[in-house]
Amino acid sequence: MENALRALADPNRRTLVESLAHGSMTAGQLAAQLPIARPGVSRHLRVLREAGLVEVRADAQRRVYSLRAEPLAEVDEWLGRYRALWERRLDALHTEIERGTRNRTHERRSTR
Amino acid sequence: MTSRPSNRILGSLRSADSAGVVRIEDRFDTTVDDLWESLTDPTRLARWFGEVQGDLRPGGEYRTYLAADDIESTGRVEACEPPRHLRVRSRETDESYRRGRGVPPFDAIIEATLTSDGDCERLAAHLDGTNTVDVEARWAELVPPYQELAAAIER
Repeated sequence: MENALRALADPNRRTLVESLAHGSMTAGQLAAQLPIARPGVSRHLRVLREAGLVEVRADAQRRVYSLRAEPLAEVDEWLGRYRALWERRLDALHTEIERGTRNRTHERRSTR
Repeated sequence: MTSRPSNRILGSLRSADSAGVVRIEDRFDTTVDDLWESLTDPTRLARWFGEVQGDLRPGGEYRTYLAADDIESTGRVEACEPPRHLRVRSRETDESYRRGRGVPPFDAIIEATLTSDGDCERLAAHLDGTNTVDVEARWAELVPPYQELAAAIER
């Protein structure tokens, strides 16, 4: 998963991954998504391939790229744990704030 | 439990100086001083976050223990400007990592910024978690679109 995360840390590569989420694309179609020169696009595609995020097949003279689900699912699971952690913490902080508010209201009443 | 405000943000992404920064944002129906106290007073922290002990002043070092996750960390207060801005840098201890076998320890910076939001009792808390060096990419992926992406591909 380390490689997948590194690969996804780059905004250009995220753009390629997001494009491929809609279906397979040729190298040329993918290159058209990015404002950089072809060799740069090829490098990004190689990083994605080495991270297992995309696979490529030859279709006549074209190279067709598609997404592989497994590394993304792993990333998603990893992120899910963090989201759950912060969700829990924020819920607990809300509870703590409510507790403070209740106590202050109570104090004001009892000092009247 | 009362209903939560719907403006919680859990993990929007930006990147700064090649490190991923995750923004966690929520609004609390209270005063800035109360929210600040809940983020900095050990007695209150113990009720929602975990045990915090040590020198809680700028430059001071402290330890935290999160019982729910059995995670022990050491940290340092990097900035403390009551009641608006707090920055701490923390790292899980090696011993705690060996026990839990989670993510290898890395420096995590939590930056809390408290801002008033319109009517004076509504506040936004921003918690930026940054990590440095080799695990930068991990945080870069706390991006909601990727959950959808992963879900879409699995079908």
